[in-house]
Amino acid sequence: MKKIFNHNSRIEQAFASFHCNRLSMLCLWVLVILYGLAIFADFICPYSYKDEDRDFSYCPPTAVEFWDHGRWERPFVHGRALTFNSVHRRVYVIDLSRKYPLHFLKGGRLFTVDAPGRFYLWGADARGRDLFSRVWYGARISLSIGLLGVAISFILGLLIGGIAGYYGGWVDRVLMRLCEMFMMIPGFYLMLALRAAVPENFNSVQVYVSVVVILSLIGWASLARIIRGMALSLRERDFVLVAKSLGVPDIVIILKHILPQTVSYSMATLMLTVSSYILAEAGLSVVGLGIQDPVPSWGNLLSDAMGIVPVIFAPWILLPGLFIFIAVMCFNVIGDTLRDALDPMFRD
Amino acid sequence: MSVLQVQNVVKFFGNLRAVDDVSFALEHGDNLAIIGESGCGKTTLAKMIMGLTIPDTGFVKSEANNLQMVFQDPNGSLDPLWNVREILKEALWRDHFLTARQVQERLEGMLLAVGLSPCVLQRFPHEFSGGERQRIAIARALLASCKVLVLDEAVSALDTLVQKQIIDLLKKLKQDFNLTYIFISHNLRLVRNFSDKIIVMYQGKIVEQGRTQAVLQSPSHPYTQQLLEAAFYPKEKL
Repeated sequence: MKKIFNHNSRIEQAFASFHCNRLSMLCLWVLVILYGLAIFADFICPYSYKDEDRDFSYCPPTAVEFWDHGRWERPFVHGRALTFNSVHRRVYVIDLSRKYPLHFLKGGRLFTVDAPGRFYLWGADARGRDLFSRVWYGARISLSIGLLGVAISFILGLLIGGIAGYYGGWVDRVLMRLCEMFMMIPGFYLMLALRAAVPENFNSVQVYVSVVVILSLIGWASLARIIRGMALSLRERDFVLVAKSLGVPDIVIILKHILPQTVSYSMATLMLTVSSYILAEAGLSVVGLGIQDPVPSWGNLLSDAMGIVPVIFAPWILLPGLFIFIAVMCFNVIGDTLRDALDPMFRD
Repeated sequence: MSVLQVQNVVKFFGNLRAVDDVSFALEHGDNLAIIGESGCGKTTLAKMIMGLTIPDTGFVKSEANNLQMVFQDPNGSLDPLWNVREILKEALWRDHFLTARQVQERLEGMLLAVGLSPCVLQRFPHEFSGGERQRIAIARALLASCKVLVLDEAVSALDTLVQKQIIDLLKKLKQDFNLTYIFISHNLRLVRNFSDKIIVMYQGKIVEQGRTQAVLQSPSHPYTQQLLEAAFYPKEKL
């Protein structure tokens, strides 16, 4: 009986109950696969993200075939011939006379076809770049930017909340008014305002870093307020008083006694925040203020789908939206399950 | 030479005078009991002695870093996320020059001194009983090489038998480590056997102080008399 009320076993129990939840385990595996594909994008994708061929603008997905002239062959793709229809729209017809066999593990890539042929597993974008490759190179940015932004805003939120709650008094008042100033401004407008403050001529790495910083600046305040409330009650706990009377420095007490006690709350919030940051990056990129072309992110891939014409004639460019949806759903389900598992009130 | 001097300390909580003009001095080797009902300002006084609460007026003077406190609730005073090794090592945080081996020797030695096996170092607070947890808290206080130990209701949450074990341990440690105690309690029976000086507090004030035997045998203040009547049966010999 005694163990049930203890913190350690509470976390163990939480993980056990998380493990039993099939849906959240499925989501965890989906995320592992998504991150794996993003990490190994160089190997998995047939083309680089900026490898373009304007003759194949909006080329539809290419089928992989095994059957030719009545017998099995190694996988190959047919060539495409570009023609124009009666309203002068591009139409790609399959050119049965040209055959390009798929090469596996050639040139450090999982599968490729030889030069004049192009292999578009999920179709091509306006400039004839392979959407499959761009989705996985884009996943690197979209999936990492959420984690990085969350990491920074969590460090900010935990530290500022911990300091405000631990010291109380005027330190608390000043820091909390600062938080409220950030929370007052609607998130998206704050993002746009911060983005406007970033110079136009940044290169892609600088843009990436500035987007991370912008994202982390919108999220820390609400976390800091909650951590502050917890720290206010934790600082009266006896083990904190003992540490104080031992003369342990305040910052050590905050980092080693106060913040670890808030871990069950912050872990669940962390997961829920990652998904909102992925959406925020997509939002910024869709309106053209996030990651800049040619570097792909799921957000700016989706910005190609802003017009009705490309969506009608090349519906595959909506695919990045599906992946945003999947990733956000997975993070939300995991976050919800973790929160319920860590909060004994909700469990069972 | 007094190790601790409390001079005219006053502490307000809003309009409530929690501690009202309290003065006393503690000599080296004393075993002082502070006794009184709940809410009479004992714990506030203890926190002011420890420097955890700042008095509104008056002052507390003590030799630097020789005070440690053991709290009432054995669940609360040990961080539930830390194992015993980390908990005890916190008391040694100033001694950066100690090698891992020296630290280990000091921790094990102290655990033996408070009657625990050295193999509990890897265990977490929830794996111990209340009495064992108080022993760990005492060990931590002693590792910080304290000379004055403030025991704030340190045995009140324990059952009678464990209370006796801890009291015996405290008596032994007083000699081994040459300690001075401030024993805060509401239990006159314990105090009678344990302390040689006594301070009776009532509504934030000291109403009576002196040697334990003298105070208990001829209480001068009506509150002390009431306390005695409540604590002992009329015919029981003091």
